[in-house]
Formats: sequence, C-alpha cells, structure tokens
Amino acid sequence: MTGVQKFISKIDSISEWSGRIFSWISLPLVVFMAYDVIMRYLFQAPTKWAYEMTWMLYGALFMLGGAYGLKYKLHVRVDIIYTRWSARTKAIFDLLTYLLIFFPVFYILITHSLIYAYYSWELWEVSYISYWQPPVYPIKTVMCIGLILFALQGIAEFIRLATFVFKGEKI
Amino acid sequence: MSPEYLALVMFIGVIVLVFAGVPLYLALGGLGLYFGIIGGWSPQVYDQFINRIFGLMSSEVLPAVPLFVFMGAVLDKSGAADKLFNAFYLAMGGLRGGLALATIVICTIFAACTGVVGASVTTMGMLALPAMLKRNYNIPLACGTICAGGTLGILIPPSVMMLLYGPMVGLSVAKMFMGAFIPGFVLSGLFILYIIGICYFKPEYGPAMPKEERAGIPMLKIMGDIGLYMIPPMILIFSVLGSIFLGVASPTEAAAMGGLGAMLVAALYRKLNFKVLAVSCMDTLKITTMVMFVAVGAFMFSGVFMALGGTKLIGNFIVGLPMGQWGIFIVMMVIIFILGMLIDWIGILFIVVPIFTPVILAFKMDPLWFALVVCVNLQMSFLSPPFAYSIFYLKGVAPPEVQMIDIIKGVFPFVALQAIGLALVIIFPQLILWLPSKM
Repeated sequence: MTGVQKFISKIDSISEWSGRIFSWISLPLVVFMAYDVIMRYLFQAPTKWAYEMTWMLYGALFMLGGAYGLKYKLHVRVDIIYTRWSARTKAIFDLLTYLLIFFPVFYILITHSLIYAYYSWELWEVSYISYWQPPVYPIKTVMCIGLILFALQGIAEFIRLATFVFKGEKI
Repeated sequence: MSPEYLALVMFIGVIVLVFAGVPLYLALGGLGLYFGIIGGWSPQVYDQFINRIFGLMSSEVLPAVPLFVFMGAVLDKSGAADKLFNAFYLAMGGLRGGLALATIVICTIFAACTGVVGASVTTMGMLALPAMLKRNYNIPLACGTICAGGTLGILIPPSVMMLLYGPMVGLSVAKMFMGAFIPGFVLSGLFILYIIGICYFKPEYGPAMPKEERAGIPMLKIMGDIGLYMIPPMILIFSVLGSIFLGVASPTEAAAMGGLGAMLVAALYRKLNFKVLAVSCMDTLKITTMVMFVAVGAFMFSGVFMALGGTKLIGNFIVGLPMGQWGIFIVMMVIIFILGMLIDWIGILFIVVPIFTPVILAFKMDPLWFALVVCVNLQMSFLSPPFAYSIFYLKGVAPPEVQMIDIIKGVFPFVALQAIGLALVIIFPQLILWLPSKM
C-alpha cells in the first residue's frame, strides 16, 4: 500500500467507527427523554436536565453522523442527469463540486465554528433555556468535531476521485 | 447588480445545481456562501451560518426526528410485520386480491409507527411480493400495491416530513400530525377500493388461494396470531398519537415514549437483542444525518436568499400572475407534483415551500390546510416515476424476474388514486381540518 492509500483507508476507518460509535447516541436519547416523561406524568417529578440533554444528544447525533453519511454516499442528490454520465464524467463533476463548493463551505464552517466554540469556552458559557443551566461549550465543540470529521472524509473522497480522473486507478 | 437580480440568479442557480446532480446540502450551502459574499455580507454572514446551524441543533421539535425513526426501526425489526402478514395471508388469502389487501392493511398500520418511507417498502417487498408472485398475482399490481402502501409511512403520522415542515413555517407539528390522519386513511381506503374493484372485474389479477391450503390451520389460531401481533403495536400507536392529540405530550416526548414502547414490543416478541438495537441505532443515525444536513444547507441558503429579497420577489411575481387565487393555487400544486417526479421531497420542502407559503398567507387561505395539501402532494413524489424512492427500494429487494417496467406500470394507477385523494382534500378541507379543530 502506498502512503496515499494508507492515508485514505485511515480516514475511511475513522468515519466508519465514528458512525458505528456515535449511532449509539440514539439509545440514551430515547431513554433519557422517556425517563423524564415518566417521572413527570407518573410521579410529578420532572428531571431538570432532560430537556437540554435531549437537544444536545440529537444535535450531536446528526453532526457526528455526517462523515459516515459521506462515506456511504447517503447525502441526497438528484441523479436524473447524473446517472447518464460515464464514470469518468461523474468523477470530474464530483471533483469540481469538491473544489468549488465542498472545501470552501467546510473551510468557512470549520474556522468559524472553532471561533464560536472558543468564545464559549472562554466565557464558560452556560445555557439559560432551562434552570439546569448546563455548559454549552461541549456541544459547540461537538459541532466543530462533526464538521472536521465530515471534511476529513471529504478529503479522502477528493483524493479518490482525483486518482481516478488523473491516473485512472480506483482506490 | 441589484439585490433582486442576485436573488433571481441564486434561485435559478439552485435549480441548475440540484438538477445537475450536486448533493442538495452542497448546492444549497454553496450558493448561500457565495451569494452571502457577493451580497457584501462577509464576514458577518459566516457567523450567521454558524448561529443558524447551532439553532438547528438546539431545536425543541427536531429531536423527534431521530426518536420517531428509532421507534419505526425497532418495530420493523421486532418481526411483527412478518408474523402479521403470515396471519393475514391465511385469513384473507381466500379472497380475490386478498394478499394485496393484506399488504395495504399492514402498511397502513405500520405507517402509523414510522415517520419515513423505506422500511415498509423493503419489508413488504421481501414478504408480500414473493407470496403474491407465488400465487400468480398480476406482477404490476403486486408491485404497485407495495409501493403505494409503503409511501403511506410519510403521510400517516408520525411523519418526519411534518417535523421539518411545521417549525419552518411556524405551524404546530401536533396539529399537522392530526390533520394528516384522515387524509392518510382516505388514501389507504382508496387503495383498498381499487384493489377490490380490479380483482372483481379481472379475477386473474389476484387469484384467491385454494381452500386446501388453509385446511388444517384452525381459524382460532389465525385470529390469535393477528391479535398477538396487531394489538401491541396498535396500543403503542394509539398511546403515542393519542397523547399528542390530547395535548398531554409534545411530539418529542411522545416520540421518546414511542421509542421506549417499541423496545418493549420487540422484547415481547423476543427480538430485543444487541443486533436489533445496533441496526436500529445505525438507521437512526443515517436518516437523521441525511435529513439534517440538507436542513443545514437550506438554512445557509434561505438566510441569504431572504436578505436579498428573493422570497418577496418570487412571491410578488406569483401573486401578480393573471389567473386568480385558485388558478395560482393549482399552478403551485402542479409545480410540486412535477418537481416530485424529478427530485425528492426534502429538496421541494426546503426550496419551494418557503416561497409558496407567504403567497398562501396573502390569499388568506388556511396555512394548516395548505401545508397538509402540500404533504399529500409530496407523498406522491415517493411514488411518481421516474424518480421515486418507493420504486428504487422495491427494485432493491424484488426477485430478479420483476422488471423495473413492471414496477413503474404498477405504480401508475396508484399515482392516479393519490391524485384523486389530493383532489378530495382540496375540495373537502374538513378532511384535514376537522381533527385538529378538536384538539
């Protein structure tokens, strides 16, 4: 295996494992929220943390799942024209999409979410939606991590496309 | 260039990129980014993007998306559908078209457990399609039945479509769920009438099962199985939807209880194991991330598009069309239907609905009614070829002798039935509005 191949397969396995591990967030999401509902309606003793815990878990689930979604090409596209193209045309089209859209968008989102999270850490920011007042910096950091994982998988896909377009090899 | 022109270019741009095949989240997000810069709003617009994405993450309603997906996934893997189909197979197989009818009934029940299309189509495609082929059912009819039944999942509440639609236009998700209930059953009823009708006039389309095959299996056992595999999911459905209807629980809370209940039902059928949970969690992650990243792109797009005055521009253009309110309304429906043939519902929801809704408000039409008419229309997009998820899902699990053309042929009558259903809810708004008015 060449260095490039090793690099790509490393990223692939990061995305794979991130998806497999983070998918389990669904379970506490169900259990915590349901626990709160039961406590509230049966025992008139709602938890003070369930409301915020729910959105944080859900937010983490979808943000951290993006890279896995990219690896398995789950992100929706309309392929009525796309499917008619040859493999090479598709690859060139995708390559341009990565260069012109994916990387600029993720560059902006990652750099600015890092600033966003940084300020949150600096202030030790807490949420005032509920009286639990949980810290918000962890979930803001999760947003950065999710976007970075997503962009990493994007780099792997980009290298894969470029090798195919310029060298005709599939890796 | 004036902002209006920029908005127009942006709108045409999104249509071009989407149809060229750029993934939706990139088409929307990319245009948001570039036009934010061209509009002269960098760098503030970047922080705006992050703020809006964080807003999506900290939503009160949207956690219901993974919760309902989880509930549907666990119930699907509980094996209830398989057992129920086997029982219905024996109970209704003696009727003409009985297996097709059983398929619609089971799909309707499971549509009320799930918020997406996919699980029902693949499950029934693996169970009911081979059964119907073995009984020499007309192949297009068998395929059309499964596709049509499966698409009920997105309309009959809970529905992921409405979880995204409601917050976007400021409608209560609970009211939307209740509004969709009767239209969903109207469609299911139309499908049943059609199958009874066509099998009456053309018995060879759905031959009845010979009596000998059922001999030896007591009716009591069949009925017992139906009860065993139908009652627990039904209790679950009624408690989830009932608590939303009565206003006892928010959709998110009801969804969480639904997820817990689904695990209990699976445990009852001895299917609650590590593998079922792992696969269900994975399904939840996949669908949630797929849907939510389109929303991320759409939020980047819509912020800039609105700042450029795009929504207003197109809204004014539509209002100015010389065809009266109802003429415009019909044009909107036709546009959604045509788009539905070509692109999937998420794109239509995020691109078209924010433009149409203010127009409808200006016409003083009921926004809840309009939203559900759009949902019924969007539901058709799962079924109307050439681009229809149900067809792809079914093709993915169908035996090799079933051709794509069989499925497409089979789907046409059901698309027509859906059009009838759409006309009914337009002509009789009470079909939609009656139940929410009782909340």
